[in-house]
Amino acid sequence: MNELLTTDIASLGRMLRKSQVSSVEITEAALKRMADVEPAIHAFITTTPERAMEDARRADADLRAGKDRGPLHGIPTGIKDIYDTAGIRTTCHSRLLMDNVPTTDSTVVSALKEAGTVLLGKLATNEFAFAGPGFDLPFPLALNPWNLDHYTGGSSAGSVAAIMAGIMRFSPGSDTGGSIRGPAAWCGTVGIKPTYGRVSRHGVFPLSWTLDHCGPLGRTVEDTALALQAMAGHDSADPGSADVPVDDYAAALSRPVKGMRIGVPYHWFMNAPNADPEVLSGIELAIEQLGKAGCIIEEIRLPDFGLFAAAARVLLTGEGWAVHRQMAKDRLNDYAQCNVGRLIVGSTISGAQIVDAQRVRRMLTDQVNEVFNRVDVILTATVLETSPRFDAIANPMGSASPMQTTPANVTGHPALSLPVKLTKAGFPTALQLIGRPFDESHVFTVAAELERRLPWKDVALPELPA
Amino acid sequence: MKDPRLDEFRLLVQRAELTVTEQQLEDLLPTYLDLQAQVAIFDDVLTPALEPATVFRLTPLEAK
Repeated sequence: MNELLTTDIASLGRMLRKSQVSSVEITEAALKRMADVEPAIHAFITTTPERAMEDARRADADLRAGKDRGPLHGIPTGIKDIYDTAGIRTTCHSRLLMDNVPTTDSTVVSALKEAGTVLLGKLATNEFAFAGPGFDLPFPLALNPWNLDHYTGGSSAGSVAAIMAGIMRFSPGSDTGGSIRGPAAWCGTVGIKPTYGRVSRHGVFPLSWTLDHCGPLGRTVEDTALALQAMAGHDSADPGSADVPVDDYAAALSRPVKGMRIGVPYHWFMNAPNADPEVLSGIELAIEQLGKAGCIIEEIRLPDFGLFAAAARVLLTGEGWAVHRQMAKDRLNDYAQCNVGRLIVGSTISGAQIVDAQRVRRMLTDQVNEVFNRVDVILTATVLETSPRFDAIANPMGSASPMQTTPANVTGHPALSLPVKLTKAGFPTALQLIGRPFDESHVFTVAAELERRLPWKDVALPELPA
Repeated sequence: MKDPRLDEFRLLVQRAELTVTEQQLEDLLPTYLDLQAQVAIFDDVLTPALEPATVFRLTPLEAK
């Protein structure tokens, strides 16, 4: 693989600014890698090589003219196919939107364009970022680069596949119940779901308005922090957007963790019947390393995990039904079969059940905020198991999920998934760091310290068939 | 023997104006019941004082 593709964003930026490499060269390497591995991993729905080269030439010309657009200047990326891209088909991986060509960019796509990024194409997802995996979609499923018979873990599937295949360093995803953090955990990338309101959702096809979050996935903590910096900020076009100042995330990466208080809700994961011992040992290793780094580790009690899961499911399927109601009435059988089932069941949720879920949600949010009076960051599992084979996924519509991601969607707190190690069978394990509202910085500080200390830093990208 | 809650499920889907087959309803009944079981746990914690109007009250919290 071309060395440029294993070079982090900050280093590429330094090389670009010293004219040691051009964006055109980086982009050509990315397009070559895409051509080599895409037939195996199916990360893309639409590729945009001409647009990519045009973006790259513009990035190089801008730098030559002294116009520096920041850390992502000249860096290739791909966009999950639920983000509107002006003039480029945006299908949501669905038969229902096969010919949908937006006339405007989503706010995040505009921001990334303004930041000087290079667009390689639109990336695979679960249909409408909803249920998955679906096997009756109009485009192939993105596959887990660690083993092509295994699930990526959620709807930002093309993003993780493309990052772990070495095509790009970061990609914006979306997370309603864990679709950034789940795939990040199962495929070995970093992924952050920022605080609700931190990143604009304008121009992104909704799944559940009150649970939807946009955020980046990246190869490293630093790549992810630089991507979030470009994506974050108030947007009056998004009714949920928060007008709260955005920190300097890159600066947070080198802050000391000594004295920071880390809360661990062992009761959420340690005795869970389906927890993989190798996932748990990875979390224990991380806790041990934070202790060595001078953090104060405290066992905490959070509300019962089942309450978060129930609130998330009622809101997600109820709001999802509201989003899709008309299309479902008109074209139910054009959806993937797994979404047909979700929509039928979602249609039964009552107004009172939605209100009750919101009442419980308020209580849960207050209780988690109360815990943050005592700790700076919560450390827990992202997912209890490693990636399953496609044929071992029993009922993706039911309540029995190994994902531990929904609490932060319900409460809106920022949450990051960090890869820890490879299992003996060759699959990534991960942990999750949750922060105070709008305090992504402390999450990045702890994640960066752990990244320096955990075995994942020595793990190479997976081998893929050429 | 058919589950007595199949009729309830069918009625709710009909009210939503979805056209589905009897087979789909039967296949999805366990998922519907699983969802209702999750909804039922709300009753364990709901009190009259809990209300939803301030769900989106998130503001930065100071470290203490």
